[in-house]
Amino acid sequence: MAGLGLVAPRGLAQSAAAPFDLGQLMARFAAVKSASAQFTERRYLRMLKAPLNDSGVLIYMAPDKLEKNTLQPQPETLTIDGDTLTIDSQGKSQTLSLSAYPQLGGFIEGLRATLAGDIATLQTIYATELTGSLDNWQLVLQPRDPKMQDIVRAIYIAGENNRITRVQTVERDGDRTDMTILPAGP
Amino acid sequence: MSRRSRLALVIWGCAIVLCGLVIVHTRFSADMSAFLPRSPSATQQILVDQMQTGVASRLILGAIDGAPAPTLAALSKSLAQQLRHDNTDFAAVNNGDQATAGPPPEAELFWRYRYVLSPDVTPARFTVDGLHQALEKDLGLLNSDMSSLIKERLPEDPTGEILTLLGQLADQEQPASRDGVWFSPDGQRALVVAQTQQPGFDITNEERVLAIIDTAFATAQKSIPDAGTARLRLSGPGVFAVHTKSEMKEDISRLSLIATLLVSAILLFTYRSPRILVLALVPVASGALAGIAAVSLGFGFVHGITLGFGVTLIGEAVDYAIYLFTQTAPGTSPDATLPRIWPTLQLGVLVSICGFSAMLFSSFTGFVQLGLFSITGLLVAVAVTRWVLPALLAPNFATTRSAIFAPALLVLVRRARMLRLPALLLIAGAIAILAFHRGGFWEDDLSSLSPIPASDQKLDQSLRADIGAPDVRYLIVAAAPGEQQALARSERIAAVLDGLARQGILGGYDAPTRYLPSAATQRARLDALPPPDELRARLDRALQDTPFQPDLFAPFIADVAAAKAQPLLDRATLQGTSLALKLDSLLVEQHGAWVALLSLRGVTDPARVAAAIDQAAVPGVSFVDLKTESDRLLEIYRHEALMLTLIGSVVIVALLAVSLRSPRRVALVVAPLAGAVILTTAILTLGDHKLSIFNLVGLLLTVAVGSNYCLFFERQDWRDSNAPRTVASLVLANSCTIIGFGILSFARLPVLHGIGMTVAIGAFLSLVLSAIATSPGMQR
Repeated sequence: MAGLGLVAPRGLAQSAAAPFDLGQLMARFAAVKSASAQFTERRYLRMLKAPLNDSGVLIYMAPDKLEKNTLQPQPETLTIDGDTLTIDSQGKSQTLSLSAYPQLGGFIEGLRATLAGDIATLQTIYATELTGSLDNWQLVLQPRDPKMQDIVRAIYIAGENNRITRVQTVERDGDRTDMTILPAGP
Repeated sequence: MSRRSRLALVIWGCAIVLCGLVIVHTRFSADMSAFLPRSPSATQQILVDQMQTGVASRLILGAIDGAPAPTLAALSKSLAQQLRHDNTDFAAVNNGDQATAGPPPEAELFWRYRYVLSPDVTPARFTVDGLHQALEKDLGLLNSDMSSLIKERLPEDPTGEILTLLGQLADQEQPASRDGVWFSPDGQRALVVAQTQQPGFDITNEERVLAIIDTAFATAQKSIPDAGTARLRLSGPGVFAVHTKSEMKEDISRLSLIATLLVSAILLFTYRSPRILVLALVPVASGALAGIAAVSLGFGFVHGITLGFGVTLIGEAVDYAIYLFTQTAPGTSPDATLPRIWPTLQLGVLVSICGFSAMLFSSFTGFVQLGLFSITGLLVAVAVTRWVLPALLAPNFATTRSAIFAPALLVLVRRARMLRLPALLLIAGAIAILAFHRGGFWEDDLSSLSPIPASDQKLDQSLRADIGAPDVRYLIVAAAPGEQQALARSERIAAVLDGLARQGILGGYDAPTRYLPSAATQRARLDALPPPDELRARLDRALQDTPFQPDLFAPFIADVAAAKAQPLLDRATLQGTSLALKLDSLLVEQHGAWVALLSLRGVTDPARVAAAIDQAAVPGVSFVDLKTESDRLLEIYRHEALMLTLIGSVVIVALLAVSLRSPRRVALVVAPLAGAVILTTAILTLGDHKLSIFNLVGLLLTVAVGSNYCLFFERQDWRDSNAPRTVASLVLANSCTIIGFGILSFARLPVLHGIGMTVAIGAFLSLVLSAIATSPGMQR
């Protein structure tokens, strides 16, 4: 369906059927006040012969709190709440300002803004390109900030309706991280 | 005009010109440390020096508030960016905005010297096992959200020395952050910290730097919409110095003007003659000029406070002219008055000088200046009254006007006898108040001596709390004959502190060896690094069973080899970075000895820290609690002021005893003075107010100044036709003195305010009490 990559002009598409635009998609996300899901991640790094795996739980709370709770192979919690980024790892807690570390924010800000349905923030930070249909969409985010560009080339988010299924982050040096988000378990 | 008069005028004229010449070349200072005494112990001297020139003195804290947070953040960014371009004035500007600031210049230095700086560099770390553990840890980091941060430097630094070093730095508390810059926790103000290149006490430089900051802020305001309501408030030692100076200047010019106007008004009202007004001011002006010139010659500079003290001279030195003018009855000549009043005048001046002389022995440079200024001023004023004024007066000079109130005043004085019992009761009451005063008489806080207004001190404290600046209360001082020894001792103490920090007794600490380890330690760390071939062999074994690419760590082997080959890190290498500034404040050379300072943070149990330091038994090391030290300092100052006041008073009484040669007459002079001192003290401590050192000095001056009135009253022969005029002159002179000191009590600087208020009250009470004590009653 990627071949049908149409972006409908605003105001034309009224029905839930394709074609659709970012505003509509974001409106659906904005309606979600909280969500949680399990994830698995696979990192492909040039300096390693084999990929690294990890898994955990993602928790989102409207409007702007996102917690990434890695459980395997070692516990680590990354929380962004407003502009504050907190990393709890190996008994140590570090608090940083997200805007002071665009290289850290590059990965996670896109995910949060998408979940929040915050179209304004999303388009401030990234150039966006939406393809597909509401049932199967792909959103490409490319950072606008040069510092962020130094690290992140693009973030590819795929989803079905108001659910994100996959986040792929491609770094400038070619390293990439694939995150698969599973539907909430029982 | 007689030959003698002409001679007096010529000498006076030449002297005034000379004084003027000296004053023109005088340097005026506003450095408040002149009123912080020379410190008694070496440790305290280090602390005082640190306050004056250390890194702390170069800090300027800025708070931007009065607008929404995003606007404040934009202002903070723009301001900091402008200031960062100014390398000549600012050593560092920090507002939490790493995005635009980029890595600090010392980052490169840290990187290049990581193997001599990192405490983790030990032989064990570079064994096969040690390397393997480090690689496992790296994998963990790579598989986390911080992977992008550490990835770049991993091939050169797999053992993570740079992370250890940055961790040590980040150990210090960081302020809260919002919109990319530092904010107070409540989000109401954005915070900026600047460090100037020059020490804060360099007031001229500081004024310039503050102007640069203000201009930069104004520029930022113009470029950012809706930023007009925002304001920038600055704090810090240098800022205080500038404020104090401008406040002092304002106070001094305003108060001298008011005092001059008031005294002139009184004289004009009394004498109704502009000519007499000018003549009365001649001894005052001459005394002030001579006083300033004397201080300038004696010290090489004149302190602003000394000029402020000149206000009191206006009120005091004018007394002599008043005695001369008022006590010259119509039909007599001033030349005839002088011999009559001269003995009393002479004794009065002598007594005043005794009082002021006590100040010459103070360890406060500022007090010594005040003493010298007043002594010279009074001597010259009385000499001008004695020898110059008569030459300027017409032979048939007389003031009829001034005697108008005299009969009425005399009646008052005669009636004053009735007040003896009430006065005694009042004094007894005052003694009771003093005896039952609760909570001690003395101001216990060293900051009470500080010229900084309480509101400014409060702003400074809240800004420091916001920024998470360490409250430096506990320090460890390690002294040694040489730099390397001091560093070695600091390292031994640091090891003890690390243990205490692990036990939670200590939050953290800062030590000079973080920035410059001793040469021995640096060599030991380099020796822990294996030679390239050996390192490669060990690394290859450590890399087995890891997913790392085989050639990934070639840069690491090269860097280790380079670290072993490069010269050790020394002070000179650090030049030009903020680390040098930090090191300069933590490692100080003093009189050929070296002192390392370790500042402690988050001390939960000072006694255990002190015990642990004691137990380590490192020579030349002491644990310092600044609060105790400053309390002890205050104790010493107070003791000194008390001794000077007592000795001064005893000398004055002795002088009176020798001159008056009659216990009864001495009692008649001393009793009212003692009563005045007791009443003044009671008044000052009303409402649980505490006495400061400045009040104490004021009491001494009360005795020195007040004794003049007591002397004239005591010497008065009430049957003499001159009696009314004497009383009139005393009341007039006293009013002028009270105006001088009273005006001074409106000064904002504690030293001027404290002395002024005390002497104004004391001098007035001296006059009233001595009138009561010597009152002859109504019968003739």
